[in-house]
Amino acid sequence: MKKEPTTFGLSHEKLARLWGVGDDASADRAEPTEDQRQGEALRDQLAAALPLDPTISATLPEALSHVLEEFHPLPDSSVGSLLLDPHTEPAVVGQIKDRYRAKAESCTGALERQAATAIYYAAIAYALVFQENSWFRENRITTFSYGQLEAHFSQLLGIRWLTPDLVRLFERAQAICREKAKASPP
Amino acid sequence: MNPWEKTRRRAGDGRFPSTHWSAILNARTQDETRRRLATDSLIAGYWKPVYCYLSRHGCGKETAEDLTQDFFCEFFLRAKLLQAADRSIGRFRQLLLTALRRFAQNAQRDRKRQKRAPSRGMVSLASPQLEGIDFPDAGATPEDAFYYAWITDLLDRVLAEVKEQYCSSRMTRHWDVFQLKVLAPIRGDAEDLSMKEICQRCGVASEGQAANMLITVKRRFQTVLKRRLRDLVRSEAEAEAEFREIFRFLSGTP
Repeated sequence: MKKEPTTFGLSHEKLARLWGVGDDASADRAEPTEDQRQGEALRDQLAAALPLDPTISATLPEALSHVLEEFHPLPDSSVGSLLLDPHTEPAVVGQIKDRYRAKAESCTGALERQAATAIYYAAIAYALVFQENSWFRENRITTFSYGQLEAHFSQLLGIRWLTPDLVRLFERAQAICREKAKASPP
Repeated sequence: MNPWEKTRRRAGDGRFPSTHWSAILNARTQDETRRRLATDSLIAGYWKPVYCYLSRHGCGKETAEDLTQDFFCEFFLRAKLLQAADRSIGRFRQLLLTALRRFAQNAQRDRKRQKRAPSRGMVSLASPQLEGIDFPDAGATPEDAFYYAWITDLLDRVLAEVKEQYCSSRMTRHWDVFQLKVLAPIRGDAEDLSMKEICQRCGVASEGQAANMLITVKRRFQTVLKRRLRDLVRSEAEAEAEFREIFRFLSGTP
């Protein structure tokens, strides 16, 4: 297997140049587009670990936050990887849906809110796509009708800042909703 | 209902778990699996800085390796250092460095020190990272060596994460442009190519597009780097101070 190159061994001067790459990017003239900023916000949230339950963490004093972190179920798995793994526990998918719904409702920034909403729908899409899991077959993750979900996924697929993985997930979920809506019209 | 139409019930505190501090906390739990995973992750993250410190403390490579294992056995596996770690009292790295300084002094004093084997079965400390570790600045202090190794390890992790993000989302060309225009010249692997040449090599339609791709990856690099720094400290202000401090260390500016 090809060994990844390391920065260890580079001179301080070269490392300072590399370190500065982060800093000078913000000085570059071209401002990121709205889509780029939104895409960044989404990738950040997908790269983070599953957030703690805000209804619990918000009510506890700061001094106890480490207790919550200690009992955090999946500190090392990113939300993005959980939503791509067909073996993610249904309960975890349910947690993602609930936490990101709460996050979308509580965020004050538009970028964060829209990214959280996309992840909320991604959790629902996951449940639809991976329905071979018996839990998802027997327990619906949302009260939305298939027709409503198809419309939501269609809107989501119209935005340009989604990651390719989420696009594929929403496309598969949309196709499933279309089939199911046809099979059982309201 | 539009998917974006959501009511705002209350302002969130945006508190996300800190991976670094989660690892420290997990390393103290009673759950054997979580403890072991967390300990392995922490040792992997600090092995090279500790080894470099001990190498610069007048030990030969073999002795430094043995002492590195001893140090982790004593302070990680026996949980002394981890029990003392508390986010509210500051950076874990500083705590580790203080313990390491004391450990190295004791080791030096005790010339007839009996080597202690690591607690077998708990964690493997036989590290492949030894290969190719030659600290570039022969006159560096042990503290500088520790800091240098820690910074390069952080940069390697940041670069790996950014690369993974672009390559796994079928945006490999973004990474290729960044690799050719920024990384290769810094690493000395290649000369600084013109945007025109980079467009030809990466199959990018225009120089303007390549420039935008470059800025996007640079910003991504900055975001990941600052997020990882933020994970180590208590506030945004401390993360910013850490960023500046490291830049000063690398550039040799006061």
